[in-house]
Amino acid sequence: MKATFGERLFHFALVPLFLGIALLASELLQPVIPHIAEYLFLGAVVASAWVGGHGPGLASALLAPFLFDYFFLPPLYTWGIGAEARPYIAPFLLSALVAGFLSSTVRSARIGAQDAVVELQQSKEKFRRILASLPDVSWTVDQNRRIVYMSPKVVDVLGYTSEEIRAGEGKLPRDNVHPDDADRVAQAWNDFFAAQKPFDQEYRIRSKDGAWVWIHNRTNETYREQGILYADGLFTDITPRKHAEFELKSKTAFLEAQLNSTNEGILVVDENNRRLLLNRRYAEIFAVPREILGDPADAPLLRHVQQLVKAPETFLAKVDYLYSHPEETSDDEIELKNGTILDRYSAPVLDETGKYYGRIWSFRDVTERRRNEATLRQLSAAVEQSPVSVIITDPSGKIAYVNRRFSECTGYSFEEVRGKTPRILNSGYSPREMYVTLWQTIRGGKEWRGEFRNKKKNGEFFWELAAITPIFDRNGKITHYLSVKEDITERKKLEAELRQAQKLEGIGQLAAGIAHEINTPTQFVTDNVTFFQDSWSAVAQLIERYRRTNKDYLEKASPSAAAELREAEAKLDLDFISEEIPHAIAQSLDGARRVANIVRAMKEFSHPDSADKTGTDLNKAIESTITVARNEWKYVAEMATDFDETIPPVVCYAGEVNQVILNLVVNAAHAIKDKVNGNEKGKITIRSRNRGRFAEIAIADTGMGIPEEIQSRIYEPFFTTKEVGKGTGQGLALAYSVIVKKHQGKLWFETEKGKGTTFFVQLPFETAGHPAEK
Amino acid sequence: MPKRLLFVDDEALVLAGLRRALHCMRNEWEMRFVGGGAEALQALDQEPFDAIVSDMRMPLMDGAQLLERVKERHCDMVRIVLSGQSEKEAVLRSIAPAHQFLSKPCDVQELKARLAQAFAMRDLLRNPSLAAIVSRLRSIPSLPTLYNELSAALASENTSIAEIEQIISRDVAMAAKILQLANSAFLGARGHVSSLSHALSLIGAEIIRSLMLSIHVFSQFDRHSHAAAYIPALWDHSMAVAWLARRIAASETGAKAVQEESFTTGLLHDVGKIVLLAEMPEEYRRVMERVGGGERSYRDLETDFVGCTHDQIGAYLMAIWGLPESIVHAVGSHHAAAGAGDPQFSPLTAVCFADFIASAADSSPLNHDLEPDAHPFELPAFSAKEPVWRTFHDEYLLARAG
Repeated sequence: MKATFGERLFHFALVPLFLGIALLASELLQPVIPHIAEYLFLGAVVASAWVGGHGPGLASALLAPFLFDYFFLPPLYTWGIGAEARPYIAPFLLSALVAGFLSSTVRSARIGAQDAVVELQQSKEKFRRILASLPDVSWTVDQNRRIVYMSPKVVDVLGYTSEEIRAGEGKLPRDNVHPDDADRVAQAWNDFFAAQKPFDQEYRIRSKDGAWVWIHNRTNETYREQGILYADGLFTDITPRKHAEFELKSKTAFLEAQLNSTNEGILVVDENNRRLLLNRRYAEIFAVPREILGDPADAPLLRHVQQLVKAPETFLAKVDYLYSHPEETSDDEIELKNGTILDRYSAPVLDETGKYYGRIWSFRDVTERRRNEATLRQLSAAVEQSPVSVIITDPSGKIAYVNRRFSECTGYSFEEVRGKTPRILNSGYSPREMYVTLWQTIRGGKEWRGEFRNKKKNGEFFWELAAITPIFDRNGKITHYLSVKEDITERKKLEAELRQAQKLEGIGQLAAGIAHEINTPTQFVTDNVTFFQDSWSAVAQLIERYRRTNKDYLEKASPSAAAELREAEAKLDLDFISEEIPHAIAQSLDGARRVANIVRAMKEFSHPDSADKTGTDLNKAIESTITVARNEWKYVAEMATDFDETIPPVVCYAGEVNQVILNLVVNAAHAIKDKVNGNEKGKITIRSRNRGRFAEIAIADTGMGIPEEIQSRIYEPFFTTKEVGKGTGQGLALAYSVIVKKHQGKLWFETEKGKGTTFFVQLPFETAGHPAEK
Repeated sequence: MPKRLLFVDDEALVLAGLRRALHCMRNEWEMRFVGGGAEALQALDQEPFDAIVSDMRMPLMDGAQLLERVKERHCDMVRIVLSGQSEKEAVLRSIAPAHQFLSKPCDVQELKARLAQAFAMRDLLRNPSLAAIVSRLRSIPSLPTLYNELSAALASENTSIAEIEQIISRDVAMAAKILQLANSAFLGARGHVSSLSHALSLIGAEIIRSLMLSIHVFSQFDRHSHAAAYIPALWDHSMAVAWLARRIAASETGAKAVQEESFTTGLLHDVGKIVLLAEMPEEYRRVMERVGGGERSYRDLETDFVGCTHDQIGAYLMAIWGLPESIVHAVGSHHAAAGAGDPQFSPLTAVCFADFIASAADSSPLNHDLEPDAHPFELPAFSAKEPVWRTFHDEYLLARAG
């Protein structure tokens, strides 16, 4: 311990005091005791050194010889030390040094002892403070497990104060040990005291408020004091830790369960690619045998898996690659030899700094999914390639899908119609009510079937037979509508053609029957009129002869009879009769011939027998047709014909060709009717020409001409400019079909606005190599 | 001697009309009008008739049935159908028993013309049994190879009319039959069809098929007949004449119709020989054996052994079958130099010269039937043509070979 400045000053102040005392005592005693002064001064030096240490000791040792010399040595009385005093300097200095040394040694020993006590007390205090600041509770028990001491901290842990606990002499905690732990704890205490086994237990004690508190209680050894065995120990409140542990445990269990309950096979490896864990599903997928599962080595597992996969080399290559590129993730598919397809996903486990801890491999069995996908692909290919149009719309009717056929049929690509509604096809032909019914039906969850006449992108009309059905989700809610539509334009056309053909056939049969009925009377009417004709000329001559012969004779014989006869002749107007009867007969014959012609034309026109192509005289066919259609044109137009007589017979379906000519003649008449409208008649001119390999018919009218905007559409089936119900839109379509398709001929027109239109038909003479088509 | 005609119709008014209309023929024709098949057969039993004109559709016994009986019992008559129906079916049913099919209303002039032609040709046949032979003929036999060829062609569904024509145009018998049909009031066809291709295009493949396969209007030559040896030569000659006639016509006129008729006439010109070879093979063989042997010409020999010439027989057949008058005339007079002397070029002219050229190049006695004094090229109008026309025969031989 260092002396303070004040103490030091005090020590130096003691030096003159001691020296003064030694001087006084020497004055007094010198006479009594010789040489006592030396000893007294020596004593003062020693005392100074003893009390004040080296400093004061030396100071007094230097002063002492001066004083001693001055006062007690014979007579020097000069300043400085006389020769007599000098021998005293060294012993005084030596004594001072020895005494200072001794004094400081003794003092420091004494101070050290004092310090030790203080420190002990201080450290005890510190210890207490530390203990108090610890969550642990310290305690002391004796061999009877009486609690001798318990730190006050206990109140924080158990709710009881240490006094309460000491009062119960240890019963309190003992009795409140959790029944599940009690036996274990009791046994441990016994082992501790009896066998000196360290006590270290975790167990539950009911706290004052009734809650269970987990404590970790431990002590290492006993010690004996005054014959009694004691033990000191600590316990710690580990309830939070216990709770955390429990939570961790349950969490882990949960995770483990999750790992095992997932449908993916999972393998986790550490940063050295050593297996950390694999789940049950993994073992299932790869049918990992128990012995490999139990074997922590990786090689057998890898070998096992490798022999299962179809392409082990690529499988391994990927594994190796990923192990050498720890930062990469991968997702691919592998196929096992048994056909199972696995989706393999691998990702590294990295912390936020990017440190690599290992890798997770997960394998998902996607066999079923792939199979479903394949089925789906097949089905969707089937839909896509389907020969019928397929449209899928959302519930509001917006198009979500159309197949290829739809695009082919309508000319709209999927991109063009996506998000639009099928109304873009609406031709405006079908009545509104139909659409209302349609929506009612399908919104009601039922299927709707019907026919549409729709419009293509290029404006062409076409007929569709549609079946529209709702598509439901699992809850029965309509998510989409599916419309499957078949282009029935061709069928409609064929139906129309068939109807036309049937009509024609009907007319043909009727015509044949009527023809027979009319032909018989025509035969005898003609015969009889012919007879009149033959007879009348003879009769007329005979009458003339009578008149000439008898005239003179009768005048003479009987003038009255002659007058009578003249009167009778005049009354009869024989001259008129004689003149008119031949005309009447000739006209009757002409009329009968016309009847016969009409009947024949009708028969020829309808041609009930012509299932086959037959050689047909086109000029005659045109004539028949003109006769049959007479009623259509005679009120609006004059008919002129200009036939090329060198045209050989054309091998064709006569009935159908007649129908075409009729349609063209009727169209011509209608075109004129639209123009003349009650004024002057128009003119229809029909020409036939031999064009070498073709026979050509031109039917020209003086009508309105065909407006340019519809010129490209006139051959479209169902296209008509006539008002609804008047035209079928079939005439020219049929003509096109018959001439171009069935006869490999040509059909075209020339038209001039306001001037008229000429339709040209060319039929080849030779369809050589093309036998009569059925 | 007036011809005797029998008219059959269930419609009395038709009969009355015909009676009146044909009243003007009363001096040439004796006519009877009966109302049904039974009465007709009865009348036929009582007295002979030269021709019968019958309606088709009648109660109890229809026209086809009646004519079938008439054909059996009174085979030398000319049988004509005059029907108000002209459906294919009716026509086809009448093909076997009737020579001609006319449809109502039929102008009496037409009827008169057809009958007159038949009677005129018959009168040339001095041998009445020959008339019976001809009018009994349902068909004249075809060359067996062509018959089989057509049969095979028709067995296929896809035979075109052009292929059929290619076969029929080489066979005299079938060509004659087709022309007979086409000149019936067939499917409303009127006018005279003298072109084979026209006839075929009118009739159509389907009907040809039923003619061949179900109605059996075609037949083939008996290979074992005494005259069988002459048959190929006859067909070769007919083809050659047909070809040459058309070639000559083509060199003379651009009219396709004339060329076609020349071909047809050429093909048919010796049709009478077929009848004789088929029906009187023994007698005709004797003719053949004597051809070129003595004083008697070919036609004299025919008259000696058969009773008439092949051109007369042929013309009669063509006449009762109702072929166009020009063909009938040409068949009947292709040996008459008068034909060649006609200043107006006609199919007959072409056939006369074609026959002359082809016969000269032929070795078969069958084809040496020209009059010994026939030298058509000596006629002033044709002498200049001789070198050119004769080269046509070489063309023909080339064409046939190639």
